[in-house]
Amino acid sequence: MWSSQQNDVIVAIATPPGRGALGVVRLSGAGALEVVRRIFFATNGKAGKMRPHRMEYGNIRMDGTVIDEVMLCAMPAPKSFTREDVVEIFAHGGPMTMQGVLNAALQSGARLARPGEFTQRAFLNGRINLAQAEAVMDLIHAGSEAARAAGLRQLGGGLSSRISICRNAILRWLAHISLSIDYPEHEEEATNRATILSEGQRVLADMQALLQTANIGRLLREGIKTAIIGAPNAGKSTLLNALLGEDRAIIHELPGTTRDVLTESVQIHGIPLVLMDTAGLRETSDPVEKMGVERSRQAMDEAELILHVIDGSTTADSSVSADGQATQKKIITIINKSDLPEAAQTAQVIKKAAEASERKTPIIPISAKTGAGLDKLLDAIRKTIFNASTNGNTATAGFVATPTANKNNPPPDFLVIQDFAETDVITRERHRVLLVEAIEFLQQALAELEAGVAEDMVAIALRGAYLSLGHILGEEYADDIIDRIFAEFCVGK
Amino acid sequence: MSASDNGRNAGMTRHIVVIGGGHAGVEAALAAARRGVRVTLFVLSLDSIAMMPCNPCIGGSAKGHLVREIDALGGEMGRAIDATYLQSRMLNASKGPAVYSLRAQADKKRYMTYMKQVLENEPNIALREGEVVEVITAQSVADDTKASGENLNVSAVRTESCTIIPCNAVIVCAGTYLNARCLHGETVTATGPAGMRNATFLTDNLHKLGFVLQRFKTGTPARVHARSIDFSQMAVQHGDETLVPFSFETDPADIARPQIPCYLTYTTPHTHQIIRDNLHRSAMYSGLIDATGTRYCPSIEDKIVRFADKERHPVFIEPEGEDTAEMYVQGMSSALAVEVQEQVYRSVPGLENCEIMRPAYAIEYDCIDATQLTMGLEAKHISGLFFAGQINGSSGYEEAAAQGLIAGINASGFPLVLTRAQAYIGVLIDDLVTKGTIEPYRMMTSRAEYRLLLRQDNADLRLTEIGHAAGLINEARYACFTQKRDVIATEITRLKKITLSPEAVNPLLTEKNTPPLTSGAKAADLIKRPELTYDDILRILPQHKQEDDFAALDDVAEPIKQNAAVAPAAFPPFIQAAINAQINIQIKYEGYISMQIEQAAQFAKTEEKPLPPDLDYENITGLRLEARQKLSRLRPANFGQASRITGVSPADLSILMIYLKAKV
Repeated sequence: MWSSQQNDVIVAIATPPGRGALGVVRLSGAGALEVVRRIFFATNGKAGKMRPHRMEYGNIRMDGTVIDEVMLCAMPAPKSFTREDVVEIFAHGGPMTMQGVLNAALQSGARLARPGEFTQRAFLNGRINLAQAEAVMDLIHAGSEAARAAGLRQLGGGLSSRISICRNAILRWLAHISLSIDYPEHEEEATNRATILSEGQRVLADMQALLQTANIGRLLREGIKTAIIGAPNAGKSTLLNALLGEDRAIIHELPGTTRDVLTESVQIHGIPLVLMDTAGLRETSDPVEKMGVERSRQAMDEAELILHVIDGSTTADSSVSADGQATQKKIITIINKSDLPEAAQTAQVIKKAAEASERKTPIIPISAKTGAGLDKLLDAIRKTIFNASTNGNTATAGFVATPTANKNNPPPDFLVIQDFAETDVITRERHRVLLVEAIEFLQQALAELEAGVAEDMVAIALRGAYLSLGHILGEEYADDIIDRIFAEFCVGK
Repeated sequence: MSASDNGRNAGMTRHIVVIGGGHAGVEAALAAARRGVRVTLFVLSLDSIAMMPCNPCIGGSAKGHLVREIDALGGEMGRAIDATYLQSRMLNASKGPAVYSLRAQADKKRYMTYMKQVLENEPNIALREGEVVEVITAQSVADDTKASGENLNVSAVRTESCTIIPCNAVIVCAGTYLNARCLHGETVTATGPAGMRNATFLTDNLHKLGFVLQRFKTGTPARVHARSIDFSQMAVQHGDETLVPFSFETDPADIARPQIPCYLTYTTPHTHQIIRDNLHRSAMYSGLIDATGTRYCPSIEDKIVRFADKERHPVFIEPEGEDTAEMYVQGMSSALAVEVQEQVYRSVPGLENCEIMRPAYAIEYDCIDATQLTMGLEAKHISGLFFAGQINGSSGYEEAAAQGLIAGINASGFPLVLTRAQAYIGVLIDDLVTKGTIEPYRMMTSRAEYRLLLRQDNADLRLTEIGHAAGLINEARYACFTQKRDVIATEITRLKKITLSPEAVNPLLTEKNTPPLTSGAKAADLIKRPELTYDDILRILPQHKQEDDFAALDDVAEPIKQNAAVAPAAFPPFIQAAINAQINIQIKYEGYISMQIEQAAQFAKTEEKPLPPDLDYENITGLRLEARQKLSRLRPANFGQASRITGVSPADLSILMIYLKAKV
């Protein structure tokens, strides 16, 4: 019977498997404190103190043997994540130690948690709603500081409130339409098409802006594939090492040293980048280097951001530049070796060329060797990634191409996400799909209104949009969603 | 399934008592009697059968749909109003076909006379004047389908003269008569509507039988003498030139008549001032009434108080009948003292000298909490006891009649439950028995999820098959119906196959100001153009010499020839017109219709997920308290029903779903 299971004490290792400096074992359920009391002792062997919401120090013992020296925090119901009694034990992170603490808890009366059970309890106890439950998953899977911040923000319900505003507006229009249908004799109350149309454009814009963030959300979770390209010996590998802060790539002044694509993950200002250092692009007869060049081109194709490194000490390699320009990817042009006197002149040449071209890409002079200009580069990366595309190309998954800029159509302002904790970002694929659906419904409704389609028919699409938004919030009921959500959780979260 | 169903299906000799001869009682009695069951219909007064104590009209938005559905199932209301209407209009004609709604002004007296005669002519119905004071129940026997021993069965009714009349089922259609009080100003009378006597015993009986009772309130405006109205200050509202009858069987040519106009005027700031100054003289605001009124048709006092910023409210003047000078003043329902009513009415342009013949009044009455009923309108805890009409918390003649029909069909042994995707009647009953209502319930199109599927034009296609199975549609009508249905389907298929050449259609397209074709197009696709209708396309279809124009279309030529040969010319013109209109709508709105069919199918998936009848909701701690209590009390049969219970949120449903999954 579930009700007996519902409050029993569950336990799991809450940190990822493998070796870490610290690891957390978490318990939840009525009696969790008692279970821990049986295994937690002060260093002098007396019963350990467990003041609510305080870190306590002591030993975990089993059968009189000290298993580990730990810190723990007891959180009595309902002031805990699950609204049940919760204890978190911070132990040393080796697999043996963690398993030992877990076993002690199991022997003391706890049961091993099923996948997702902690979150499920939080949900069942009304601590979090569905959207928040999903946000928990984002926190768990957060690949970066920024993704974590976005997850936290969603957990707080920021996304919910933005979607609610759109949904309420649609509900209001539906009410107006219903009024004119159900009280036809009161014609003065009739719906004002123009009002819905103008309000509708605003709501649509809101929803589209939110959808824009879906790309950012995905990138935050998965990392942004960034290819470092450039002519041989332009200093690509030096740049990689500078960005990583360690000597990862072998650098040598001999051109063509990098023969394969090196891939490294790094966080820059909390933004996850997957850096791909490539072989220099040049015509070569060396079969090995040829393969390297081939792979470089592949890497470019896969990349969402390209860092094009130009050797500031010589004139730019026009063919590589053309390669970069030909793609629709986001590009940052880096003029390396700014510590050399020739670099300034090269920069002038490049800038002139860039001004003549259709595309405006940032041009950043740096010295990968001395680190000069790296700050500016990081800033440019950040701005380029979160450049809010306002060209209406909303439904495009993945990176949206930088809009063509000219005098009549200036480049859009940068949307710089200063602090993800204050910005609502769509991070879940399920949300994105539903949002796209809602946008399509709303676009259909607005088009129909403009075409003079009868209001009650327009209401069908409006209702579709209303339902889709409701599903994001969990305010419309659909059982398959619940299955999907909780199937994604892993033990201990 | 109720305990008594088995007995009924076994073909026992049956006798049903119907309590009340209003719109619910009439349909209930007729449905049961026409199904071959003996019926005794008790009315407090034979002169009040099918009375319309409030507005003199049938239909309107969503209500018109209900009447069409009643007719499609074999009920009487549609034919009755067709025979006695004074004016007919199709409302919402400027909107989409889903919300076209018929409304007709009724000649009240003639409507009552019509219905009384129909009842008198029905051999299985005994009409009895008298008050039923008690429903008598007995322990049911030989019922192994229910576990508990507390099964009650209806066995008889007792009348005021202490006569006991045995019966197998009772349908309570007591309307607004139970402990009714009428109020205006400081005056309170213990009467039912329109000064009729009320019924004072049944409430206690129902209470003892375990029903939860509520007290509702509704009201009606004054009737004024036609000679005292200055119609020249009002806008005239005529009926439609093209008449659409309510009944699918009625030929408009047979009921054509000079229609009687209605009139429109508006309240003035002066009206509002008088009301504000005299609110204490309204029984509604002086504390005399504590029953719950409806938001859907508020009194004029309510309108002024609740919508203080509105400058004026519309007032419609409608005839009560051809044999009377009484005029109904729609929009001015009130519980103000009569002398204040007079001032208020006389502040309205055109009513400056009006003579009030009957004052406006509010009426309070007892009704049950319909959540104690099944979808067949039978009490969950007493087999054979049915309820229909305003006693269930609804308002309106049409809502009452629809329930009466369903109760009559079910009580007479044909278990019939209509779903929300099938009929407005399904929406109505599901709302009443699942959500319950805390104010008089009015049908509205916005209550239906699948408005486009539940059109008034296709009520017969949706329901006549069911009416026939229930034995309420005779063979002649059924034969005509099936032929109509098949012709529509065949023709739509044909139109989707026929390709029309530019030469054939371009003259028509030019005439209708729509872009000409450069290559062939399917006839159905042309009908989808906003400028064109099926009738337009039909004009050019017969002109085709099949051998010439279809010769190039080898693969379709044969079926077209065959179909053309099948097409009958035997329909009366009004049915042919309905067929053409139906084809036009189904093709034009195909995209929207299929969208709603898909939504309905998804809905059905959740709808059918069963909830265990013995589920202990109190134990599911994640559910909010209100949800726990409601679910425990109402015990919904499935997730669909649970989702519609007021106070059960989607979050509660998610918790319920996870709880059930975890339990397995």
